[in-house]
Amino acid sequence: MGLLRQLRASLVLGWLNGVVPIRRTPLWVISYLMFPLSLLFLLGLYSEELVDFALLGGFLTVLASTGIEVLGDVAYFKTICKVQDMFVASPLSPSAYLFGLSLSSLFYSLPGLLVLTVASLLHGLLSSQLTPTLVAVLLLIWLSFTALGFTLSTFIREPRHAWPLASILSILFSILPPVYYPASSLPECLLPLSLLLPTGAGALLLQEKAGLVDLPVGLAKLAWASLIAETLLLWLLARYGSRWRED
Amino acid sequence: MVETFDLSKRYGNGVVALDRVSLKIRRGRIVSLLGRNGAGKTTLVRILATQLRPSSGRARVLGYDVLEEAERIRERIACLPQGAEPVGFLTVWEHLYGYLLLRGVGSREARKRAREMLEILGLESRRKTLASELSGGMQRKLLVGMTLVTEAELLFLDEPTTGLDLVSRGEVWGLLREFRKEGRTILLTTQNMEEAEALSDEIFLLHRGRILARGKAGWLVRRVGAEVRVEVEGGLRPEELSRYGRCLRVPGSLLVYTDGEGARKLVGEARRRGVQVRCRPVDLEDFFLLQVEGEDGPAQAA
Repeated sequence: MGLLRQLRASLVLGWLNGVVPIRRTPLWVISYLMFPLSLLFLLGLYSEELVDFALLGGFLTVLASTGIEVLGDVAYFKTICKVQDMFVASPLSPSAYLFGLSLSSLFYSLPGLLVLTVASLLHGLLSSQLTPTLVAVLLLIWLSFTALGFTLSTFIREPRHAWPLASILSILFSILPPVYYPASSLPECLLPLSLLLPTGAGALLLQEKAGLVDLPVGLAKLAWASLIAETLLLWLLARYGSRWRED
Repeated sequence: MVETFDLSKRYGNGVVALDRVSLKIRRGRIVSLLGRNGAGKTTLVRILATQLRPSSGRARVLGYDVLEEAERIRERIACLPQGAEPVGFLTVWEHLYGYLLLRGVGSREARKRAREMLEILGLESRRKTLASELSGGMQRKLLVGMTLVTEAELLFLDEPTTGLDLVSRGEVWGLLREFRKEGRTILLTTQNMEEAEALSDEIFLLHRGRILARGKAGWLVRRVGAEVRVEVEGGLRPEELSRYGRCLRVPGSLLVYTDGEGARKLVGEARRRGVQVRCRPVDLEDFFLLQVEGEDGPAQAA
């Protein structure tokens, strides 16, 4: 099957696994928004200054949590429905399958991103300076987390483990690094550690570009390098480390 | 069309699922892999459908090596895994049409084929019904329809009629026979002797990862070497029964394989002693029981 057909197959999978279930069960979208909106509410109550952090963190969390939810999708397709075996024994390539699932997670996150965009515009956070960085960071977060979800899914034999694991990881990735709090509140020696997680690197870049924090010289470049390298690594791991055909 | 040479599969836990299996399947046939749970049927199908790597040996499907040319094979096969279920949140139409698009079929052709398959399956009125709202039989038919609609040269169907009632099972059998008429090949796994007998051009009997026997159903049944099976429920000892024919112990009863005259005498003897017996012509199940007994001994035969 040629590249264009594989791309079309990815779009079809994204549509069937993303748009169709959202239209039939819109509650999913609300569930992905609950955590970032709750934090926005709490942080907003605590301090007006933290609203910008909550909005930027919300963007990252929505994409990270829907991305890692690929873990649950694969568990459902592979272990419960067993339709993944039908996909393996077909011309659909592993890359097209992975990209299709990534697209479906993007479709899930779009309504949430829209809500956060409107809130950011109303709060005067979005600017012509921040927007390109925001788009680039979100793109990398989307790719890295769907790849991570896909890779982890291949090691899960019991589908009931998939959903709690996805929830735990998405909370950890959103709370441990400075996603909802200022990166400047971390000791300077700990800042590079936050680059080990894609959400940490992404948050540093967004907070710096939005003028919310001043980063030490060179840290922003290091954050870009980390985020790109982590995304590439996770994508390669998903493509070649996951078990499309079992041993 | 399908060839394996000393194909073996040993899982990580040490279980040998396939033990040097060599077979050859010709085009345009329905071939059944028959065996009990754990016989190795699913493992063999998964290797041939390029879902699982063998531990050793070789396999070629449609002329291509399953390890080195898997992509070429995947373009020309379709597979229904054991225990598969439709995706609950998608409709009947989305299953058929969507699966074709995922396989790279053009949208116009996919729409045409999906419409035809809906008609064949008798599911036109359920086109917009969610798969989760279909009965178990309809769900199974939908999955079989998804594999047939691909028009693949070779289908792997792993226990496609498990859990179906008699009517639904007959409908699926009808679909598979139509598919064969088009010159396509089906490799079917089943535990159902009646299904294997009714559908197959050739049967491979698998037991403990090895092929115990192969051939057409009628030929295999003739190898039983008896005409009648008499089932005796207590009251007569195996030593007494063995003078009528070959005696086999199964849970709750004894089976005697004999000819028409032997059966008549045995039934007369049983009546005199007030013992319940049932007679029927031998079939594939009897061949299976006797083969497995030969391998495992009488205690495990049934």
